[in-house]
Amino acid sequence: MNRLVDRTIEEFLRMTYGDDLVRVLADELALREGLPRDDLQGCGRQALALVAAQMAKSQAEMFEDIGAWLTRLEPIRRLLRFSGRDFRDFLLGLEELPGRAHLVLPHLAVPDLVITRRHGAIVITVRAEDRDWQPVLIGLLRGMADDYGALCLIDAEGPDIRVEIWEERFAEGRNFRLSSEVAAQGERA
Amino acid sequence: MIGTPSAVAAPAGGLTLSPAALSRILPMHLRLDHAGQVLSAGQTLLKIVPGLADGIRGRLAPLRAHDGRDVVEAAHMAASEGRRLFLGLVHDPGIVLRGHAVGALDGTILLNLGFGLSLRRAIAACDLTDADFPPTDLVMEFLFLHEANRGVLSELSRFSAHLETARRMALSEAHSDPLTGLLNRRGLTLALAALLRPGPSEAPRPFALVQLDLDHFKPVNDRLGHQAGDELLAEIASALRQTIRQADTAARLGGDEFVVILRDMTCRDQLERMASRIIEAIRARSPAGIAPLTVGASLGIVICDGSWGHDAETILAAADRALYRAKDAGRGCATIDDMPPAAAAPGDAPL
Repeated sequence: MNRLVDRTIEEFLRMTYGDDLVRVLADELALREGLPRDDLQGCGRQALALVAAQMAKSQAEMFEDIGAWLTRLEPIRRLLRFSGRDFRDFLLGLEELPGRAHLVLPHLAVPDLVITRRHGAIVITVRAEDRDWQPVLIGLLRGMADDYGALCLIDAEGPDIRVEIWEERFAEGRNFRLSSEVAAQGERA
Repeated sequence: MIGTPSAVAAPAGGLTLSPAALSRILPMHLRLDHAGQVLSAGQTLLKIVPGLADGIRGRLAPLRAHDGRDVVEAAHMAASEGRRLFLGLVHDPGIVLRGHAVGALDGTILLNLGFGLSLRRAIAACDLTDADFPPTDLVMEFLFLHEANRGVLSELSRFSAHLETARRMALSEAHSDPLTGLLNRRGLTLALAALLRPGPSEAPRPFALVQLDLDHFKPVNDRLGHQAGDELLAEIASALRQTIRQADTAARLGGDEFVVILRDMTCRDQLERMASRIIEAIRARSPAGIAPLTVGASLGIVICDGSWGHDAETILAAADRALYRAKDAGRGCATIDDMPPAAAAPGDAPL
């Protein structure tokens, strides 16, 4: 499963910063390992750390960018949209996310998510040993809030994520049809 | 016509629902009176079968032969016999609904239908949304799985294509000589084996095998350095490739030792012409720095007529003997031998 994670990081870097950057990174990592390579397999996180240092960004910011980027990939956005009819429904359904992911990728280490309401906000507790999940999820939630057209504040609160929804239907939100064929036709039209 | 909610008082333990409540909990239901009049229909079913409220006949039709031709009769039979009911949409035969039916205490029939395999088609045709399905339905999970599966499969096939490319590259590296790009000894062995043992239905084809040694190569290394020697080897390899034909094979076995396989070339005149072209091409690349010596080539050639039973080692050994005769004859020339017929052991020949 790490292969998929490394490939996600590589594809993110490719689409965000270009093929040349990935080539430079692969060369750099090849030098360190003393083995030729043409991709980032096996060292996605190292590559991400190198880029973060170059861009003067924190590692967490890079992971947030990845989460937001994922929601801009149409196939992934569609999969996420199957989880709820509006953003609130989507948030409350997040507890099912690991189960859904395991339907397709039984070995993917998705963290358990527990949703609670606290003082009018929705708090998502991320039960993962891997602390990088939190920024990925924050980026992903921000991307999906935009997708649904909801106006909200999404931030880290300790190891948790706090979401305050100010307006459910603030903007139009992106179109979503259950049928992928109909959705594709709509986009072409 | 959708009837008014029947005001039949529910007997003790019975259940009475308004059509609105029925439609909410069973959005794909259909309630018929004894004559087949539609009393109520679920909101999703109405979306899929327009005009259903005005009558079921001509809009839905039974698909299983044993259900007869009349949809109302089929519904009654399904209710009384507890059988599954398969109904096709008359205006869109691609969509098949399946379901079951029960008789209610007031003599009406309640059908509950679902999509089965026509789900995706129905969703596309009628632009159904999340709201059209009850929460008990696994539609969203099905669609999720369907699209996620497609994504995973395409990712997998991308990955295996990637692996295949890497495998081919590793293979070709294992079979080639990094300095000249010609085949190495292993590559030559495989190429020869393929020639000597072709597929089950093919006979071996004739060919000539050339064993080639450079003359006066050592002074190049000694006087001009190993880099000059390596560069000369690479140049000679590319000259060799340009001289032979596309279907022929060239290999470097190490040092200044080369082997060339010339397919279907068994005519001595042709082979002599080819040999002198090769020797000429190599002489033309002799570096000036070793004058008065000249780098040249000696060639030992054996002709294999395509009979069964020769093995690679015997052929290479015969070519080697021819090569030494060429060297003894003063170098810079070729000696051509015919491969003697192999004493093929019975059972070696193909069936």
